[in-house]
Amino acid sequence: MLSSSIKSAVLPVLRTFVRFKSKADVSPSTQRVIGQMSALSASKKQPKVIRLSNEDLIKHKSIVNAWNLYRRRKVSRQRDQLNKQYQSIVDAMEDLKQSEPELYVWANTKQTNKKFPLQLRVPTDYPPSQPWVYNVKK
Amino acid sequence: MYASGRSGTRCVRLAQTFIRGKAKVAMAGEVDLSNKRIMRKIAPGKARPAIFHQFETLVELSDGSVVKRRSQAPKDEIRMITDQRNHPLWNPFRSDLNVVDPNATGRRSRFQAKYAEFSNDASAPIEEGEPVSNKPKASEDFLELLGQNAKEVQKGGQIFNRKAASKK
Amino acid sequence: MKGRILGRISLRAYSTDLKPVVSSTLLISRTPIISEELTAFESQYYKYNNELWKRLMWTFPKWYYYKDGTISEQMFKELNPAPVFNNPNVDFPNGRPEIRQGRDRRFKQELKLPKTYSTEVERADETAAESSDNLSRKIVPNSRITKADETKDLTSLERKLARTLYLVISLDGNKWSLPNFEMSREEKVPLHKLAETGFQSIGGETVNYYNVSNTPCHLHHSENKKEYFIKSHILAGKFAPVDNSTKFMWLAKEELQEYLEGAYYEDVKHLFNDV
Repeated sequence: MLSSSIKSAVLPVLRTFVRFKSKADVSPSTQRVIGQMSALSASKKQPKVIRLSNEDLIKHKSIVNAWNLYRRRKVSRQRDQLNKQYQSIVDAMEDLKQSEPELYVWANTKQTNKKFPLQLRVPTDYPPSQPWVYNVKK
Repeated sequence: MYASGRSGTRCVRLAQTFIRGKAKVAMAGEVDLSNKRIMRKIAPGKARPAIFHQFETLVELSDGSVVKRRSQAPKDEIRMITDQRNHPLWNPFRSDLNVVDPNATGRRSRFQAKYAEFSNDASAPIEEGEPVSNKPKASEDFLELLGQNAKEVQKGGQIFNRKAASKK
Repeated sequence: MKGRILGRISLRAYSTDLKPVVSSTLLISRTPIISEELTAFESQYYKYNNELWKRLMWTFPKWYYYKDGTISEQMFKELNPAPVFNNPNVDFPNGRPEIRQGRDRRFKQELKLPKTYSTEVERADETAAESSDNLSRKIVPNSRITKADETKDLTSLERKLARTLYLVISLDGNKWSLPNFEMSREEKVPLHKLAETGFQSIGGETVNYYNVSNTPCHLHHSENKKEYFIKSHILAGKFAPVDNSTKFMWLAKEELQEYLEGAYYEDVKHLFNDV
């Protein structure tokens, strides 16, 4: 009994912040910081952990495995194509070196002050109202 | 590995900076966060990734193309008025664009409208006959930075300069 | 006139014994304008992942985006009424609700957002032009299938927006090939310059293009001819053949297989993009 009363006297009161209730005791700046921090924090905002049954877990794993397999095949296909493209550049240049040394030098000079074209666009999900630009100004 | 009772580790760190470096923060005096926040240990294997709530948003670019994206802001549609699809800077080869004024919106045009008087034109009259001193005063240096038409405003009383007074 | 032609022929006949003709082939492509078409498996997997993501998303911090007592907060509240709370006097056969910050944390949180456009039927006096100028109108995406796709216009640059298209030409209307330009024996020019000037001469005057490199990307050997491939992208404009008898098409990879010669296609198919 005595120890508890001493404790309460010595230790400062633990303050926990509540977003709406304790508005009166804190300044607006503090309230703002608390609001920002609580938007970032996970407390009370995390949903329940998904508990899958054994069957569902197997389903999920097979879906993920199928996706990984699909991705791996796609990536290796693309890599093979890139390797082939690179090899055909090498072949063309080797041939040019042997048969047409002059053309080889021209084809091998670095193109300085060449810029990537500004007109090329990143693909969007839906096309523009006018899909192609027919206006040419050089 | 620790999280406070009410917020994640990141927030705790934020709170600590507020408390430790009070002078560094703009509203340091006003913000009072308790340093007695309850720390809770996150058990191994119990940590979960932060997945903020996101809305699916359609973004329409100025030429009518639409991009789907996820966004934390509560807006399901965003329409761009000027972007790289119709700005002359990104479209130097287009002559069919009818843009009102590329600089009509934005901070730069607002700045220019506000400080148009201080535009640095070469036709500003140069006063002749005045001896050019080699050592400009510190305040003159600042005036130069401000622009040519700026004038120093005398604020408050003048400070007694002992050196200047003794020379007289 | 006659003499000049004869002279050229005799010169060619003389020189074929020495070396094969050097030529450069232009591989000019129109890059995709819209994102790739998803396969059935891809779209199913994305849907599954999206639903999992939604289920695991945190609760929307409403107080952060909508200030208390504002009109926007009121509108948001009206659209998203609070879920049924865990009333101790009520029996819940499917499990008791666990409400935290206005969300049942057992399920995903589905929110409706206040619309910026008017949801009512458009006014009759508002013309189509006015409504398209209205900046607060609803976003209605354009169709991914264009008019050129519907009419099967193979010469249009607006067909198959999700694919890379390549230019093929035909001088006689039967045999289709990639545009190929032969180098003269007397005067040698760089391969990419040859491709560029050749393209200009057959109808590339009205095209903005970007040559990727001066280095050839492939070499195709045919009878007494060497074809060096130069890659290029069309950026704007339209290919308009100078000679009316020249036919042209913009084709994707599978379509090229139909129109190009079998052995030739097999040799160059790795240069074409699958997307």
